[in-house]
Amino acid sequence: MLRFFKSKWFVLSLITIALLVVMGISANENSKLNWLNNIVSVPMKPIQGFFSSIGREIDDFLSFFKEMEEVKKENDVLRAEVAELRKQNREMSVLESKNEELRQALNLKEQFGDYTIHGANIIAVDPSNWFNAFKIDIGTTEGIDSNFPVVTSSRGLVGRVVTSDISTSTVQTIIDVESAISGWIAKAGGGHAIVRGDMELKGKGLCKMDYIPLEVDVEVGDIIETSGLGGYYPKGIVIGEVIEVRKSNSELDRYAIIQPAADFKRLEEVFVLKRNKNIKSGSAEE
Amino acid sequence: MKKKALFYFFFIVLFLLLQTTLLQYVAIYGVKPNILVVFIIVTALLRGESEGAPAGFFAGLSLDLMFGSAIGFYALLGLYLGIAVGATNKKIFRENILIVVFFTFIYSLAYESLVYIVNNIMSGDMNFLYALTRTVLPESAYNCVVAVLLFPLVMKAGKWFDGADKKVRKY
Repeated sequence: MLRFFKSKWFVLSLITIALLVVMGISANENSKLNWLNNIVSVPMKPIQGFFSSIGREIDDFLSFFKEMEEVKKENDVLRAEVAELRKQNREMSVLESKNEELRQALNLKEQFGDYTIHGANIIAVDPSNWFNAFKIDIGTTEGIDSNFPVVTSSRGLVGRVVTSDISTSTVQTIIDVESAISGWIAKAGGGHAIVRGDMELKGKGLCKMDYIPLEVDVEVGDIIETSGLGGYYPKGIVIGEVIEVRKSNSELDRYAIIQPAADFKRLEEVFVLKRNKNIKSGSAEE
Repeated sequence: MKKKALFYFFFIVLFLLLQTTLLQYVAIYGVKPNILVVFIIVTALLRGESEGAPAGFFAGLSLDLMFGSAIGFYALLGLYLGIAVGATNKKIFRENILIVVFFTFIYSLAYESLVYIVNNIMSGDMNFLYALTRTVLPESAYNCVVAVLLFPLVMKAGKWFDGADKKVRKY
């Protein structure tokens, strides 16, 4: 009997049980045990930042040659576009002042009025091939907490903060297979639908929209925004654009493929929307 | 012994850093190799389970603390991977690069399949065939390339440990 307690199988089963217990406790995003993550993430942060910037430099350098030809063509197109846009801009400034007047009259709130915007750099990506998550270089010290929305510089939705340590936070992107958010089809007669990550689409940086209401006529080019339901995201952040509508067997089965406004292959800097007032949301959407 | 622990610590940290930062730039069709898994397999093959199992445990734990959703998941998988590969080691001529590549492929396949199944078993829409052909198989093949690079490194380190042990024993 004593020999059994000293045997490697006993030690192994002991470790296994201990790890299963730890897993069970730490699976909760708010568990105190997740404090342990700081042991690795805090000392690694500066080195990861350094490694990531080297990677980006090399990648930029290599793509410089590859893109030279494209850039030339693009330049011509852009020149034409600039002229066109200058003209539009002049017309717009008139509209803007008009808009401002009307806005004041209606007393409309700023879109992200309840939020402060915090810039952050991506310092590491998920090590596996299964998830699309990344780490950013701000954490609880900067007041970042789980479920804060993350957007790009042009305010396209990137995802949300899942966990945050002292100095880093993990962000789950909207193309991650475990992500599901409530979207709003932004057009006349629009409706709610669920935007989720898909294993077959995430490689191309796309995501999928299903549970589209029967009465809504989804078309290519429709803009999808956050609906504000669920409590994580404020209403009206652009998720992306419909690039394809697929119908399988029946009308009920149809789903749309979304090109997110954020380019997940070229993401370097993101912005976290920090809630000013501590509004606790009652309902969770996942 | 101290030297050995330090060596493993250094390599796990280095591979963790590479895995989370630079590896995304060598991804082919969105699939990147997993150096830490290859490190566990090669170490367990060449050094046996007494070194493979702890290496697997700590490599897994570092992944858990860095990115995992539940602490202990990768640690447990890494530990069992080290033990399973270490158990194979006794019956074969292990210092042959072809054998190392072969077992890297087989165990990567088993490991990543298991990760996929455990992560998705509750989700309802498992698409294992797609995951296998698009992610697991390419990753396993890619891991073999990494194994060819890691093999001489772990081999040399092993000889260095053994040599150091012998010297200690002499006096």
